[in-house]
Amino acid sequence: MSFRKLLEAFEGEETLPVPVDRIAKWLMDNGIQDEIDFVGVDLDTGVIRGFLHRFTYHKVPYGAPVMCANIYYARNQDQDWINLVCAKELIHMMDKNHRVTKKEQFDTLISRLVLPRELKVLLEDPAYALSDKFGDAFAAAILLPLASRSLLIEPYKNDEVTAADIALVAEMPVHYVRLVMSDEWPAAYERMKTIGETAKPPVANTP
Amino acid sequence: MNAKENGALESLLFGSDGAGVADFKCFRGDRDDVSEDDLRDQIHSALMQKRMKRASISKDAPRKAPIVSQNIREFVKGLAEPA
Repeated sequence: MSFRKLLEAFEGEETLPVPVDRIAKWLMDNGIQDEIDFVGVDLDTGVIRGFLHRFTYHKVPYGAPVMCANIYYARNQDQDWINLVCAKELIHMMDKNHRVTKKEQFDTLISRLVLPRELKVLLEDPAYALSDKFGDAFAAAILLPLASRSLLIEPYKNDEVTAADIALVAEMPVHYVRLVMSDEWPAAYERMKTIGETAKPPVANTP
Repeated sequence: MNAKENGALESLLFGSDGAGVADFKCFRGDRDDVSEDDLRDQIHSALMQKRMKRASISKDAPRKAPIVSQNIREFVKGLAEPA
C-alpha cells in the first residue's frame, strides 16, 4: 500500500490537533497492523526520542502469527514531541519495502543515524536508513494536514498567526510547522504521495 | 557498550535465535555529538524498562492532558475579530 492512501485519509482534516490514536486506528482498520502498544520510557532525548520495534508472535501454538508493534517514546518530553515521535513511528508501518529485519541492517541504521551532518549529505544511505530519516516529514504531513494548511497559509503569510501559534493548536514542534507552511511543501507533499508506488524512498535532495 | 552488552541488546531486539523481528526504526535526538554507543545504551535501557515493568504501556496514544480540538476554519474566521 502506498503512502498516498494514508495521506489522503487525513488531508481534508480541518480540526486540529489530529489525534495520534486516529492514525493507529487507520493502520489497524486497513489491516496493516494487528496490535499496537505505546510504551512510555525515560530516555535522553538529546540521543533518542523514540523508536519502533515490530515483531511477530503466536498467541496459540501453530496459530497465525500476530504482528505486534511497540512504539517506545520518551515520556519525559512535551506533548508536541510525543505526538510527532509516535506519528512517525506509526507511519513507518506503511513502509513494507524498507524494513530493518536483520542485525546487520540494525547496525548500519545505527551507524548512519550518528553520522556528522557533512557526511550525511555526502554518503548514500541504504533505503531503510533513508526512509527512517524522512519519516518525520510524513508525520508532520499528517499532524498538519493539507486542508488546515490551506486555511492557515494566508493569515500565516500576513503575520496574523505565527508558527508558534499553529504549533500550539496542532500540538506539534514549531520546527515542523515551519516545514509544512513553507512554499516548497506542496511539491514535497505530492512527491511523498508517490512513495510506495515506486517502492523507492525519496532521493536525498540536499544543497 | 561492550560486546556482551551489545549481545544482550540484540537478544532483546531480535530474540535469542535472531528471528521474529519485523522492523526497527528510530527517532534520533537533537544532540550533534551522539555516538553509536549512546544510541545502543538508550535503546537497551528502554527495552529493559519495559521488561522490568517500569514503562507506561497503553493501547491508547499517550496524552499529558485531554485534547482541546479547534476547528481551523472558525479559528481563521476569528482572527479578523478583536481579541
